[in-house]
Amino acid sequence: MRRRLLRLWQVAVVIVVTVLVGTLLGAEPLHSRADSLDPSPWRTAALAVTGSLAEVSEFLHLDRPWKWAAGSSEIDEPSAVSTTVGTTTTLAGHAGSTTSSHTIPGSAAGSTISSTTTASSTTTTSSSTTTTTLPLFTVKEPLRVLMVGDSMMMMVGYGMMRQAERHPAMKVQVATKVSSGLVRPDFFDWPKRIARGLSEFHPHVTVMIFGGNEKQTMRHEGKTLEPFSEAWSTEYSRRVADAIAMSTDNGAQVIWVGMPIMRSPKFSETCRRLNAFYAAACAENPDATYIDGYSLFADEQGQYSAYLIDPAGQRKLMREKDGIHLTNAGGDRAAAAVMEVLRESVRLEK
Amino acid sequence: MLFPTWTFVAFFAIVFAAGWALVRRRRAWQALMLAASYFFYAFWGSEFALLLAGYTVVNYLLGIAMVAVRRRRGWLLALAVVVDLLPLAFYKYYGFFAFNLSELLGGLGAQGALPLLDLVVPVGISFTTFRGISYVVDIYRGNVQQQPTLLEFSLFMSFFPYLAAGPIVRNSELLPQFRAGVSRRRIDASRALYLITLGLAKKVVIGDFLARNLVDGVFAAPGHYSSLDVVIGIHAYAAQIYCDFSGYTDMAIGVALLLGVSLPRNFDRPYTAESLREFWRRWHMTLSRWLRDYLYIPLGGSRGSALVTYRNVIMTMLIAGIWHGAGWTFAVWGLLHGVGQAVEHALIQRRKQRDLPPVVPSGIGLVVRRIVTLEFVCLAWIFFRADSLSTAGDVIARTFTAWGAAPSVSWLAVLAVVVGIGFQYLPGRLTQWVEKTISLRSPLLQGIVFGAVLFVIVGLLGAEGMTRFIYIGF
Repeated sequence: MRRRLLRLWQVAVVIVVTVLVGTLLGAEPLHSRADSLDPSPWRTAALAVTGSLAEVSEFLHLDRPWKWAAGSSEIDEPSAVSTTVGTTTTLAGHAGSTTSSHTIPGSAAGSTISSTTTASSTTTTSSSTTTTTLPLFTVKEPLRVLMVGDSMMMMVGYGMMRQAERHPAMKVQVATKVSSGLVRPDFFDWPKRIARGLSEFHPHVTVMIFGGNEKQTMRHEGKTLEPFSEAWSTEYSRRVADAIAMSTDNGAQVIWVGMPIMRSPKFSETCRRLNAFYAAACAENPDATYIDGYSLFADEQGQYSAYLIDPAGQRKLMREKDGIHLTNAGGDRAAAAVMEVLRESVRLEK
Repeated sequence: MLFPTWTFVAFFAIVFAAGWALVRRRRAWQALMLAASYFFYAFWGSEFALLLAGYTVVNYLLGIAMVAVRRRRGWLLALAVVVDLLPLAFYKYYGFFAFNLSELLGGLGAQGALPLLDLVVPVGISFTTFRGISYVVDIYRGNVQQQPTLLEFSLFMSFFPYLAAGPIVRNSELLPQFRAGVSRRRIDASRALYLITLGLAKKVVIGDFLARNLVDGVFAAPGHYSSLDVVIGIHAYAAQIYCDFSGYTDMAIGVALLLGVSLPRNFDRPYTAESLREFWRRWHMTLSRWLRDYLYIPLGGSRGSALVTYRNVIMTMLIAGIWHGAGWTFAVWGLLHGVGQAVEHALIQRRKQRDLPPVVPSGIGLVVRRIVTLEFVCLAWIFFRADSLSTAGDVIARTFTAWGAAPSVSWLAVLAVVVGIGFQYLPGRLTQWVEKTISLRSPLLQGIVFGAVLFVIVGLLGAEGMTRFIYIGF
């Protein structure tokens, strides 16, 4: 028997039913997605439509598959990249920025050295000259570095993995989630993921990058807060500070890499505003360090450039075609800045 | 605008309804599709749409000129090809040229390199170039039976289902459909929706999953992975690029079918090929035939000596490699395929000279040939995926040097690789049976099935935040 061809009205029925069934089954995530749009009439319309769909879906119990799947993913989120790397570290590259000096616990017993360090002030929120004891990490007892963040973290994480290939006294674990951030824990619960990383990996250092998806409304205490409003800013500052404190309260140093300058001036401005939150939070926590990612990826005139000069003096393509994400060379540049900060507080066995 | 987005769903709903409302008014239908296609393209940037319009007008006018004049048509053709290639050369290859010139001059201690511009490559510019060149060459060869109107030609250059990443259509396939008008009142909807669903599943369930969970890491920091991880990672890329690209074209063919337009097939289970020549008859089939008709044959094809044939094969594949991307890695990828096919030609030629019959492999011989072909293709994919020759070298070296290290690859990733490559061995009859079985159900039931399956693919199995389609970058 041959395949049956449909009349036009029948095709229309198939398409409408397909869309209707698909959207009813996925009404909840669709409503959440609509909620994350920039404030506009489109967002208002999308919220109204998806809100109605969500109500119908709940009434018909069609939301159960999604709820079941969402419940399962709370235990394990398969689309989050999680990679552990056994490697080493060479400290070279750009001037880092430190807000404080740190003592990192867990280094090889009795293998500390005394040293005087001067933190560079070119990309830091503050500089200080301190005398401190730099702990030594070895291959047997490596420095554990946890890298967490949105898609911007991917290339930085890979950059740190390449650093770790050269430095066996360092282990790197990378956990990223595309489209995520601290604004929308309903989409991805970063505090929970960071807590898991802390309890399983016991990092000495947590490196964080967020900001790619943060300019969206935030739900807090039953209210919807508009991006960069006073209430939004207050709550976002708290979330950033809490995310940092989760690590520092567990004895881990935090290095926060600020968002880089972007090709789009509008997005650059958003990143600049978000970076102010991160820098301020790091300044308030003595165990946190802020790296000015914005300047790190700007050219000599402080403007966006896809090509930048690497530490070897060669011009390299640092940004992807989208004008947002980093290339491997860009990841190496950010990783070098992280290593520069680490060099201020630890010593790695050759 | 990408296919698997809500923006596209809304866009397509309007185009579908309006398109079928105008189905009896041919010119109005063409105008609607043209407007929709430019709207679709302008989502990536209005300047891109202007460039597309420029391509269209120039090729159309030069086509008319070639028909009108009897002498110096070769010059007009050359002019058209050069004009078609100029934007491609500027947007796609300028950066590569300027960077390498800068490196060369720097190495010689000289100054005066070209500035490195941050150019945004127009989406699908290579595919637009292919369509333009094929049209003017066909005019020159006298293969265009009836001169299209500007409206028909504009639609041929911009029809949104294939605009961004193919298939690479010929004017002889599309213009008659546009000219005759979409008069079919019955649509193979089950096949269209099956292709859209299958394409989406390939992309978001297998392609994106493998990219994020294995491939990107292996090619970014191979030294971190064990040899087994790297070997699986290389095969994962083979599965990813197939699922990504064939997934896109499945969706393109399905979307066009819903509008009443048939597009040519682009993939036919390529990893079941038993030779590189067969691989290229199954992989990106519309590119293969374009290369054959507009590059390999004009170069002389196999009409000359054996050595000339080998040269033509290698040249064609080298150019195909450089077409994919401005970088030495793509050149090596093309060269590997060219040399590989030249060797196959030579082996066949040798049997002919000895009056031996062609090899018809079966049993274990067929299995070995398929494995060797797949592994060669995977070796070449390393260069295609790596961002530099040194990275490709690191990946290859790692496949030999870390067998003692503990593998970290997940079973889920291995399963995705097996499914991504292995399902190509499923008999074609199975696909036909599925399509037929669905088509025999009522429209209501078909809708419920497709809706539920799409929810499972996108909502439950798909990775959040879809990655960019690989071939849209070409």
